[in-house]
Amino acid sequence: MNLNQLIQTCKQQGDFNAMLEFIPYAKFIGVEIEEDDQGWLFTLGTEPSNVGNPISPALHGGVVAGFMEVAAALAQMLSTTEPTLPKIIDFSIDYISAGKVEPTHARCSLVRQGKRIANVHVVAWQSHIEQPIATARAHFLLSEEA
Amino acid sequence: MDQQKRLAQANNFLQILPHCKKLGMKIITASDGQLTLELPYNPDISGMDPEGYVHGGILTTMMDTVCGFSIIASLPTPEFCPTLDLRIDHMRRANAKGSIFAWAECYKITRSVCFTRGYAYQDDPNNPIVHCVATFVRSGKTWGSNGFVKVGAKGAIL
Repeated sequence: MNLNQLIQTCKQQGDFNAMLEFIPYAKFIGVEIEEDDQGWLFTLGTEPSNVGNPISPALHGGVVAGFMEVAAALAQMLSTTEPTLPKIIDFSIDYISAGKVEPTHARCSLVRQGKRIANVHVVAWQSHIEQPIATARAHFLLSEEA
Repeated sequence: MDQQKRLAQANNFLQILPHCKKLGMKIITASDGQLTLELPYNPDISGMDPEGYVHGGILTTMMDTVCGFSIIASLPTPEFCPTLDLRIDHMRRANAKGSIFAWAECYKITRSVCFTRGYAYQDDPNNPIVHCVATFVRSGKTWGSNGFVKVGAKGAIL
């Protein structure tokens, strides 16, 4: 099954988690996807192994970043009519507060979808989207065919 | 501080961080302000690709870890410094097989902020996979056996 067929199947069945089966890293940290009236909602579970600081305790900053990068790539693929595998060019994250060991959510906005480059903004939060724990921006290269 | 002692201290501390332990990260060199981390290959950390390249999130995790630890290798007394921001540039993909190495240095420390930079590579440090800059905030606290304590206070574990 190619990428386009996989995405079409997920959209038809309304089960986007099937996409995650193809991303071992997303399973490793525990990412889930659902669709609601505001678009794609990504959630990072509370696996104890995602902790980076056992004293607070707090999520590892790298896990929060990895979750946001997974979300950005999936949002880009799900939002385009001709999906290709997005290749990360660069990723910039601002940490706003420590991530507690609670479910973490993310939403993405595709700021620009060009022929070769996509710019995706991501916001991650725990209790309220108005109180983000991190914001990030990813650039992806889209030139390769799926 | 003696290099061997600093390396042992940094590795012991790395092993109490659950995510680093799960990934099997190991510090292989530590000197004043500089550190090298090794991550063994693991099929669970690849991205969406039949060739199984290493996911960018793993490389960000490595860089956040090694940059943060470079501060511990810089300060006379270890201090808890959460990440303020991090930027990572991907020059090429990491091969599916083999360890990844990440090097970082803390090149400036002020009263409030630590500035770090680093890169990750596989075979050749001159042909890096990623390059990274990250900024950390000093808290004035360190790790104690029962939570955070002020730097220099009794009960610090580092």
